[in-house]
Amino acid sequence: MKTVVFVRRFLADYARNPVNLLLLVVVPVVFVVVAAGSLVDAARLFGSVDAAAVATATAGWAAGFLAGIAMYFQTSAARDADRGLVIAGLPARRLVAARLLTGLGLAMLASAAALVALWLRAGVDDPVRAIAGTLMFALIYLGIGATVGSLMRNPVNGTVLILFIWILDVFFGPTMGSSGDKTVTRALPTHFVTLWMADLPLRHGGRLGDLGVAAVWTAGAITVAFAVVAATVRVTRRHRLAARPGSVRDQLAAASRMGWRDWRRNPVLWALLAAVPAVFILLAQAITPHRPTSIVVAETGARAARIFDVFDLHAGTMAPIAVASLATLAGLFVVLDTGPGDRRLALVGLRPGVALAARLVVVGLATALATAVSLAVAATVFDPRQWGWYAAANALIAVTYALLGVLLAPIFGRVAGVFIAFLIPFIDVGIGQSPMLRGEPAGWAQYLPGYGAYRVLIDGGLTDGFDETRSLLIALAWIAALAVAAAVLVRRTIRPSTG
Amino acid sequence: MHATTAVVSRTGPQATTMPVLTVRGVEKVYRRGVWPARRSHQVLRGVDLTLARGEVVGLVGENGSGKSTLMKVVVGALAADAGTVSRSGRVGYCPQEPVLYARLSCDEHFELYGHAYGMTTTAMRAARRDIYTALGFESYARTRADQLSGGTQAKLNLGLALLADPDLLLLDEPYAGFDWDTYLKFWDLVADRRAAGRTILIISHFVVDEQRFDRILQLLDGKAVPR
Repeated sequence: MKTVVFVRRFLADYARNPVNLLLLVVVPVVFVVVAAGSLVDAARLFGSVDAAAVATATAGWAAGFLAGIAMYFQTSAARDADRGLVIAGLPARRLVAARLLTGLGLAMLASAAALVALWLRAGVDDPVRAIAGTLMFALIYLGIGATVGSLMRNPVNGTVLILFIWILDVFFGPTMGSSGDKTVTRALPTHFVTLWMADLPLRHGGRLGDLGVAAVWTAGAITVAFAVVAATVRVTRRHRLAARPGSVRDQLAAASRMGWRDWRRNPVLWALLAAVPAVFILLAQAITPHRPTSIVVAETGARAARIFDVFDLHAGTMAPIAVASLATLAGLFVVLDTGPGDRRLALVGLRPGVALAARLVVVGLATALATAVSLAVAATVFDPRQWGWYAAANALIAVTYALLGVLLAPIFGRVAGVFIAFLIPFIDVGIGQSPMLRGEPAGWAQYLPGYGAYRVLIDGGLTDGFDETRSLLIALAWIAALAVAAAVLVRRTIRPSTG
Repeated sequence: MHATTAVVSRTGPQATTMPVLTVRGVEKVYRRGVWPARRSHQVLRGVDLTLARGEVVGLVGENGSGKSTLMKVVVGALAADAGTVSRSGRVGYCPQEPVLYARLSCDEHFELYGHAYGMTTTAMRAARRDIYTALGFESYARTRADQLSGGTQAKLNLGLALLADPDLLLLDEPYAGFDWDTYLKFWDLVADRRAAGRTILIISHFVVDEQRFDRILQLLDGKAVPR
């Protein structure tokens, strides 16, 4: 019952700004009535022929957007006050439940307004699908809004991120022409809801069906939101109890946070992250002609040469080169830039192991970004047969080379380190492993760090089933060995001398 | 050649007479190049040094005499080839060249060092405020280190050593780059810390205000001798 009291208070808090309520009704109506026509035109431009499906989806888009933004402000603006409630004794799970139920109320209002507008504008052929679909849109964005609200305090960043997700969702959704049929766009939050709501015959849902996957997305979004909001509300209490000043956790959090700030203020690295994958991958695609090439792949336990069109796979082979190069440079420069400062910090009490862990966190984030950007660019021109394994192989290459970069820093220093950081990924991933040059890697290339991960990449990119367990183990062994070597060497350079 | 032993106690100085820092027979040889062109240069040849609680001691010497090497050995930044170093209490170290994170602000540096020292946020903020006021650079609190002037970088470099009010302050050319006003403020700070029982070792190429020191030591032929 206590939860209901909080929901009522939270709703009252929201409704006491009448503009909030007005927008919840006016925006969906304007969106569905006015913008739907333009969106149908846009969809036609992208190749869609189903105007009714676009019109139906507009109700969901409007409800989703409003629910997401409303929940964002519910979560972010009230976080400090909510923490006060938790500190005062309210269980975090009850507070989060109350916040999400409040959001549900707002989502239902926005959905109702959008559906009424849809009914007035174009009529509703299938009321069950329209109502349930719109509500699922709203709930998924409710989860997105709550998650972003918990993690991003700055309202500009938060709302821009939600808007960005929503625009991707709308314009690459299944009602918007041919892009809706691409494998990668199936990962968008409301892809399956749209398929079911508009009754499109693409049937991407497999055994679960489009409705089943849509329901999983809806439940998943709410569950993740619940977990994230609860975690951020509880953080203060846990920190107060457990993170003693100067403890391992306290130092790790501070060093990682500052390391990340230091790194993200380096605009050159950001430019590299954006430019290198784009140039590598898109240029490769632009200059590659159609011609056959023979590549050895593993299928159903046996290796055999198969013929591929290089035009179809060149971009996919450039992504790991971009990933490896960026990861090596990130590992190298993070350790080089922070080495003297870390050694001074270690003299006054920062644990060397903590300093190393914080640097690896920053390198990991940089590498994850580089990989995500490379995969996103590659996705525009390359369609791997198994996306999961292809992405995982790129991640393995990224981790391998990030650790190699970390290792190069204390051994070679800045100038020689940069030369080697360019050389090794180029020789290994760019030449030794490349299927563009040889059907399978030469003997010498099998001893290089990228061999195992690259075989997994070929398997994921060009075949329908996974047959590279041994290669995967080789890749993991390389990562383990490099991690141990990097840990020992970097820790030695940071640690104060006792002898 | 026997190994150096550094004995570090965190319990703090117990009495005025108890040494805060004891250095015995510290030796250091720099070796450069590879065989057969390998050359050795012995910088420290058995340094002995004892600092008591509340002392302000100057360490002078010619360029290349080994002052910074000795300080690095004392603080633990460099391993000695022989000898022992015993310290008690918390140590603050101000290196000769500012060692800073280029893209972090002054506030962020103090925050990070507060965590390293194991200070509470409240204590760190109070100490930071006092240091900003004492050295006069609070207006640069949110400026990145790579956008500070050389003098302000030197203030931040010194401030990081002072943050936790350490029992032993090891300052390597701390006022290089200070204007006259800041130089005087620095000595006010030193006087306050000495009055609170802190021990301070200051390296300088030359000593102008001898009266500000309790003792002055000179590094001569690799050994510390009274001047």
